[in-house]
Amino acid sequence: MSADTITVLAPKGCSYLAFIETEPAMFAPFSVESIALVSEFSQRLMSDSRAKSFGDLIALAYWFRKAHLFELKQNFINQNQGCRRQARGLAFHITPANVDTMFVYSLFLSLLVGNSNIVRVSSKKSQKQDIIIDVLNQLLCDTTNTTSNNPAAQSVLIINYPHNSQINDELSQLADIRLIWGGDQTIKTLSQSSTKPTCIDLKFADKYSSALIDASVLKDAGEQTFNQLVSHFVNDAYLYGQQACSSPRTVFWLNGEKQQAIIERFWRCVDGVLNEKRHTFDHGIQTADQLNKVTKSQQLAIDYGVTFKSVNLRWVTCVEFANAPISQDARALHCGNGLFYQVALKQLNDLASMLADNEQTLSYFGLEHKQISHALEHKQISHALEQAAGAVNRIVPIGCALTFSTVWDGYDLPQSLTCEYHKGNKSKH
Amino acid sequence: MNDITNILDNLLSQDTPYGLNAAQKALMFKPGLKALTRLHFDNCIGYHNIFAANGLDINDFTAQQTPALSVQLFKHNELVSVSKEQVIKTLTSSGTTSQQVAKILLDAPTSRYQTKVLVHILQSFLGKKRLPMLIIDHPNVIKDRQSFSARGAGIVGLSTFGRDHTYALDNNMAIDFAAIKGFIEKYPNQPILLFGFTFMVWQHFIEALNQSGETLDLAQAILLHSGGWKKLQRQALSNSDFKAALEQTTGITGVHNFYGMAEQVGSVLVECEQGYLHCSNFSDIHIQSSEDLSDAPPGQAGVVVIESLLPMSYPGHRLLTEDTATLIGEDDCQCGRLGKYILVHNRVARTQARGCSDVG
Repeated sequence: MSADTITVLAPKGCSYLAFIETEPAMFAPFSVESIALVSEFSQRLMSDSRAKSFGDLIALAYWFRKAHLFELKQNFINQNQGCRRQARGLAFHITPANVDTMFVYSLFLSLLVGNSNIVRVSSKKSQKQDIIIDVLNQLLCDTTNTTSNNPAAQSVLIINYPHNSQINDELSQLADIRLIWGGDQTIKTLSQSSTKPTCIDLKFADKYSSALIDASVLKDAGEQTFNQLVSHFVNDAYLYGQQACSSPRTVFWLNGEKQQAIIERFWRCVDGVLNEKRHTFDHGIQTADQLNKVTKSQQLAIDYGVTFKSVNLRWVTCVEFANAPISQDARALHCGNGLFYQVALKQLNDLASMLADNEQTLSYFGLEHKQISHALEHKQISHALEQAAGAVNRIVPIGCALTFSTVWDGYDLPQSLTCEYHKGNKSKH
Repeated sequence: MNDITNILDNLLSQDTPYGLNAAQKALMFKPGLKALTRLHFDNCIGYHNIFAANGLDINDFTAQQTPALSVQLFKHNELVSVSKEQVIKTLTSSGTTSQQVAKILLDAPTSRYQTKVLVHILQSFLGKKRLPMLIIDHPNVIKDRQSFSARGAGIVGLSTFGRDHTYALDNNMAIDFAAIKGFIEKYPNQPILLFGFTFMVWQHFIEALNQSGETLDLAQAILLHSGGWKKLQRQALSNSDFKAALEQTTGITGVHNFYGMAEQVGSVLVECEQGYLHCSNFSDIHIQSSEDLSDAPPGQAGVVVIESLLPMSYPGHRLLTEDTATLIGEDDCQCGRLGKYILVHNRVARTQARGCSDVG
């Protein structure tokens, strides 16, 4: 009965029941077939006229270009010198609605290392998701091309269904690995479905991300560097309405107290870019989003005594916390769509004490990666006994917050999606 | 406190709540608003924080700079400017869009002035005599504690304007023809007052009459109705459709919608003969752009900021609502009333949550 409520999006015309009744096809990691399929997708998406206006679709296509796939393969081989790894079997991906392209990264990494895949995508209307599904279908269903005969093409099923515990149960029973995107609530829901004893879960919990800018460096930056930073920051923060886990919500301003003017100018320019570009982002910024920001910032003033900064801007709502770290309750009030928590930082060594334990990405400008990781490590050593929070999963330049990487939320995905094995004849030695 | 009550007493002594032009009104309204800001700044820590967060100086600010508090705040924070002992009444607004309920805390003076102002405004439409009153609802609405909060409170509040309160619906929400016909026979050829919530009047009175094929002769009646059009938006019902259907089924031509909220009881905007909602001397309206919440040019629909001189026990004197409206004009309505007049459209559509936790 569950099959009735399931819509198969790709491959078009494929039967859900037939798919789950077939023994999952598995391939060696980074097989010729899987690389061929994924790189063909990349080429088709790259040349699709509809995709051109969406930066994140182009980024997706670029990430899976053939050269990068070979790079991933080489990394995987180097990492696993002297041991053999194989795919886990059937991967069940539960993917989020807030970032339209995420499901493809999840799917293809799993496919590349040889798993068979069932992907539940959001039933929310999304133009980008439609384009991706369409390109996938061209690839998987067009019998005139060679890729549809590619055996790896039999290892993909993309479905959606309304929230339904019975289907969750059924798919969870079949899975050898579940990738649960979509935060705490989804993890909670899926944990109610039992799995095979050997199944493992990769859980992507609610995360919080921040940016770190050295205001003194920004002050001395040239016009071009300044504008580029603004443009990168806008993309990181607004492309998914500030709802992606890695989009910055807090901005730490190193040397911020002495550099109020440049901070003001930064926000003014962010606002200016949005005034022109906001319609190109996924959801735009709706009236209700604007009202939400007023409500939340006023709540923050009542409960935490924040002050409003750069108050005359239209698309940026900036609240300054005099006292950091910002509590979890204050973070929970964050509503996205251009609300920024701002904190002035006297010295880099203060940073670690201001981070929470669900910190994901720290994007930066005006500092070196090494400086930041050193400052954070220092803190972790000195507070190791207190189990100090303040670990971040990623430290990347501003502009790369949304760039996907094979290590996500602390999981090395190609590793986690495979398992080590030893051939039986090894025991003879 | 004296500053504001002096201004209110002065305004209440006027012949009509619609007699001041923009310049005359500003002389009283702006100092009134500022006095309330000062009052709440001194007595409500949450309001104090919001005022301070804006970087404003309490000794040097303009009425226009008074922060507009989000109506949503009253659902999350208890905002009050008097001691607990002084609170005599708690109003709640039913949040149909969210589970949370707004809590408005009233002291005796605020409650008293709310009533005085409501009487002052409505009497200018209904006359000073209490009229026989037909309530378009069922009698249990004020007995049933569940539904009492929103609808019941409104009915109880309006009941002071009528006498011989008769309910037009039975407990099954069907029209009680016997009761209505008895009422009409008892008060022939004289003004009577009808009151109900807009969607109740439409769904359970006008539409029910249409379906029954019966008509009523209520040509002498004045209908007051309120509560918004939200529930009727799906049927794309306009105010003029509403009025036409009402006249056809009952003969009623005197219809006054009014716009108000639990956060600002008393200083309601009432619909005039031209179909526009009028600010009285006790309230004012500003329209903010739906795009970015900056000041909207006249004639452009946007989000309503509403001001009232009544909230003394809680900081509700300047509110950013979730309603959209258009400012039609000021001091020049055909009906002769002075002040701003507007058309209210609808509620701002909620955007779907789309955080990490949303897997759609």
